[in-house]
This record gives sequence, C-alpha cells and structure tokens, in this order.
Amino acid sequence: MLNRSFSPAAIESSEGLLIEKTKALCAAFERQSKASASVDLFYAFRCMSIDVITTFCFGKSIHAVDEPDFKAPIVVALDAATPVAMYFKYSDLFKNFILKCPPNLSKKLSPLTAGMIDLNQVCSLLAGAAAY
Amino acid sequence: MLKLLSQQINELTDDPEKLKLLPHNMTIYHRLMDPEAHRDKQIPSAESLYEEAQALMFGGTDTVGNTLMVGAFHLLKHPDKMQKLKSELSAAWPSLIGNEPTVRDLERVPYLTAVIKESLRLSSGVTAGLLRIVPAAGATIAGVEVPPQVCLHFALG
Repeated sequence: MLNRSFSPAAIESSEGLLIEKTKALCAAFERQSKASASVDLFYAFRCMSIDVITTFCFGKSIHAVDEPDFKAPIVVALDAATPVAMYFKYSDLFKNFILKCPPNLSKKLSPLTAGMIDLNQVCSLLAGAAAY
Repeated sequence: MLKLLSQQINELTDDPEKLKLLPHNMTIYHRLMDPEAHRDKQIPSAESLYEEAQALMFGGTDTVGNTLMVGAFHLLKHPDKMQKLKSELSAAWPSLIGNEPTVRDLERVPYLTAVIKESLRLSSGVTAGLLRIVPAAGATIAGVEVPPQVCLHFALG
C-alpha cells in the first residue's frame, strides 16, 4: 500500500526535500567547523535521515541537525533502543510488561529499555496517538 | 478517536508549502489515513498507525545514517580515493553558485556511483532475527568456516 510512496517517480519528486535537508546538514557542519568543534558523523548523518523521514511521514521536520552536537533526543533514543529490540524479540512477556507499564516506571524497572520508552513516547506524539 | 487522530495528522503538516516537496503532495500518514487506500476501506487502528510510525522511523534512519557513516569512514581512511572522488565531483559540479546538478545528472558520475554502491555493500541494513552464536565445534556456513563462539547476525536484503 505504501509502495506508491517509494516508487521511482515518488523518489524523484522528493529531490527538493533531500536537497533542503542536505543543505541544512552542510550548514550544521559549517557551524561546527567555525566553532572549531568536531562532528560525530554517526549522529550527524542520523539526524539528517530522521529529518527526512519525519517530513516524509508527518510533514513535519524535527530539525534534528540543528541540535547541539547532533545529540537530538529522538536519535539518542533510537540508538539506545536498538539493543533492547533483541530482548523484546526473545520474550513477548518482557516486551508487553515493559511497554504496558507507565513510562516512568518502565524506565526505573529496566534502565536498559529507557531508550525504547523515550522512542515510543516520541513516536506516539508524532503519530498523534498521544491522544489516547 | 480516529477522527481526532486524523485531525492531528493534518495539523502536523505545519506548512502546506512543504507538501509540495513530497511525493504525490502528501505525507505517508495522509496515505495511511485514507480509507480508500485500504483493501477493507477501513483506517487502521491507532495502535497500528503507531507501529507504522516506529517501523518507518527505524527503517528510514538506521539504514541511510549507517551507509553514509560507513562510506565517509572508508573515504577518510583512504585519502587517494577521497581525492579521486573530489576531483570527479569538481569536474561534474564546477561551481557551487548557480545551477545545481540534479539526481539524474549525479547518477551519471561513475566514481560517485561506485562509492555509493560500495558504501551500501559494506554497511548493513536493519538487522532482523535473534543473534546466533556458533557452537563450540565451529560451523561451516554457506561454505565459510566460522570459528566457535562467533556472534552472527543476518541482515535482510
């Protein structure tokens, strides 16, 4: 169903969006360089790709590339959530237990999953599911 | 509740001009919230929409971010390759002011294309499935000898 959104024609028509986001990343590189600061490419490139995908999905860029040192909360959360995906896959019980708890309690019970919880909260907010 | 959600999605599109930059002038969520796009003519539940958001965020961020980082890392490790790429790009794109090349133009730049393909080959997409650890006796996987205790992860693709 979403194939249409990723067809060659669709990709070509989003060229302007990609140029805009790439320029924003270049501007951020320039700012870091003027401040004689180094750039963490791992976070920098992720910030750019998240700006693209959030615009693509929700029509709203979160301007992650403009965060100080590219430490955008959503990118940090995505990174922290990655190792947890393995545990969630291993145990449905664990997954449901953590995800059904109030977010602040989940984070205390399992600090490892804090990233996943933060990510969920950001995603819910973006998807508008925060309303329920 | 779904009506509320739909309203929020529309509000999320803060700048109507932005939509013009998107394929078919709409966001993925406009598509997901369109009953006609679904076989059963039903808008998915809020839970399902949320899952879509999470999958798209992971899929859209990790893959591209990783590929760019791996490519940049290897270029920085090999200054001669970096120089070759820079020279080729300077020839294809002589001035930063004025006409910018389009994606179509850049696709015809051979070394750049090779660098992108090599970055895609070296980096992994989103990995799926659980880790597998090679047993004490070692194993032969797809004709390759793998020593004991090696952690294996398979990427889709």
